[in-house]
Amino acid sequence: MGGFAAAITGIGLVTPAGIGVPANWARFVEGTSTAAHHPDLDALPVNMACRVPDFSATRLGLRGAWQWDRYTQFAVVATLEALSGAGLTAGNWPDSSRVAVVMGSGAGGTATLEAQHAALLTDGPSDVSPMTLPMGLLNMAAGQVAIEVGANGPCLAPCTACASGASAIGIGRDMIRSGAADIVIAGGAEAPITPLYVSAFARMRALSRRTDDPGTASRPFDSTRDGFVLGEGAGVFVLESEEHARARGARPVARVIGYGASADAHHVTSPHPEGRGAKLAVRAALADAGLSGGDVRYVNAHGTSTPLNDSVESGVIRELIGSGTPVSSTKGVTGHPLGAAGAIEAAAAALTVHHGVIPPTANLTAPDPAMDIDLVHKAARHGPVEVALSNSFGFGGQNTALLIAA
Amino acid sequence: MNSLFESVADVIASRFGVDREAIAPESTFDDLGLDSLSQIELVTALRKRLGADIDDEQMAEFSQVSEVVAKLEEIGVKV
Repeated sequence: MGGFAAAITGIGLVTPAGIGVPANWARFVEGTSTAAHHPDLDALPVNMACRVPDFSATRLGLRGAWQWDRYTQFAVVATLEALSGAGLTAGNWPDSSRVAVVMGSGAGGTATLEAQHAALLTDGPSDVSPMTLPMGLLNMAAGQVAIEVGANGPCLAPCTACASGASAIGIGRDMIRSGAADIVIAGGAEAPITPLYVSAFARMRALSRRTDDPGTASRPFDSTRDGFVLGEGAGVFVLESEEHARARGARPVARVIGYGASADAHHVTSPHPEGRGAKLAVRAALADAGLSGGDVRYVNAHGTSTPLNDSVESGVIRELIGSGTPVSSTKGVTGHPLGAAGAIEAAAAALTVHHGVIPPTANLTAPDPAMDIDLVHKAARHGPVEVALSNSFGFGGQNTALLIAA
Repeated sequence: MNSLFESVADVIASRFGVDREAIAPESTFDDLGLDSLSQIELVTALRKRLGADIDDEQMAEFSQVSEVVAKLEEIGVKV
């Protein structure tokens, strides 16, 4: 390995599988779905989703949470867990200008924006909340995290749709590498289970229609997959250089050793048929880490459970990594949390190399033979995993690949 | 004044998640953790819940709860 490693010294997770890393990791390893019917979605074309269970920012003790959109609440809760795991205390920085926040999202505060737009149309301009933009903008999770933890370093919110969380981690590692920051809080947050998002994805025919049996709907790489299930949540890493972590006695959970990004430059939603952009991203990540595809021991796939994504992605994996390398998708458990997915799945990859356990893909009962890759299903596999690849592909043809090592 | 204060305090408590017991007539918006944007939000909440017609500019002049109550009294808001 000739490249640069950023130490992951803390992880925070808020997903439909639960709040906190232990609950999430247990559910990932168990490999059971969180998709369910939600009566409040009954007026919409698809009435199932993967929701974070029993989430209340107020009950979690966050003052001021009423003025944060749900996606920001997820980001703050995940950040506080990641800091705690890293042995860091918010606000207690040697130099707060050296602490950066990179928090990606695809939809930002869409629930807030939709509600306020409805208020504008029904009650008029004077009923539009002054909190509309402070809650609704896509950079506000990043902004509120910086406020909450007192981070005065660079603060930004990359948007690459469903790759946003992975882009944030790649950019965060670059900031450590370039010396722009000593500590980067990097991840993604999303709360898109709203009438507009559900309707829009449904009209694109992107969502699974297995509404009579939601628990089986998100089934990446299965021959009967028919679309994704909308999810939500946040994933956050604390990144720092290995020297910085060592100097303060922090033990990394894992390390980010490679990052590659690309554009399909092909179509807004359909992946390039041969996965040209995806391959460019994976190749760039391998080159960044000084590795070849054969060095990768596990792939945490983007694996959305849509017919096209899984088929194109499996071809990319087959060609660049090999048909004998274990592959699974976390989305069988979590559904698709859009801009948070890349960060949540990078966390799953980090925990995989840390524990030496490869989680199975939930609901994968009849692997699509056309995939022709080693799909981990039914049960987790145990054994050392030196290097994992985490893929993320966003609408707009925006692709990110992260390599994570023990 | 008293029952009007109670109504305003109820609106503040429910809209902003502020502990109801912590709200007194002399409480300032700062005391309650309400910033300038929250004050504007309060204008909407008072209009919806109490039918009170105060505008954003008037609210921006106030710094404590009793001033809001006095204004509502002045414009004849009944609860």
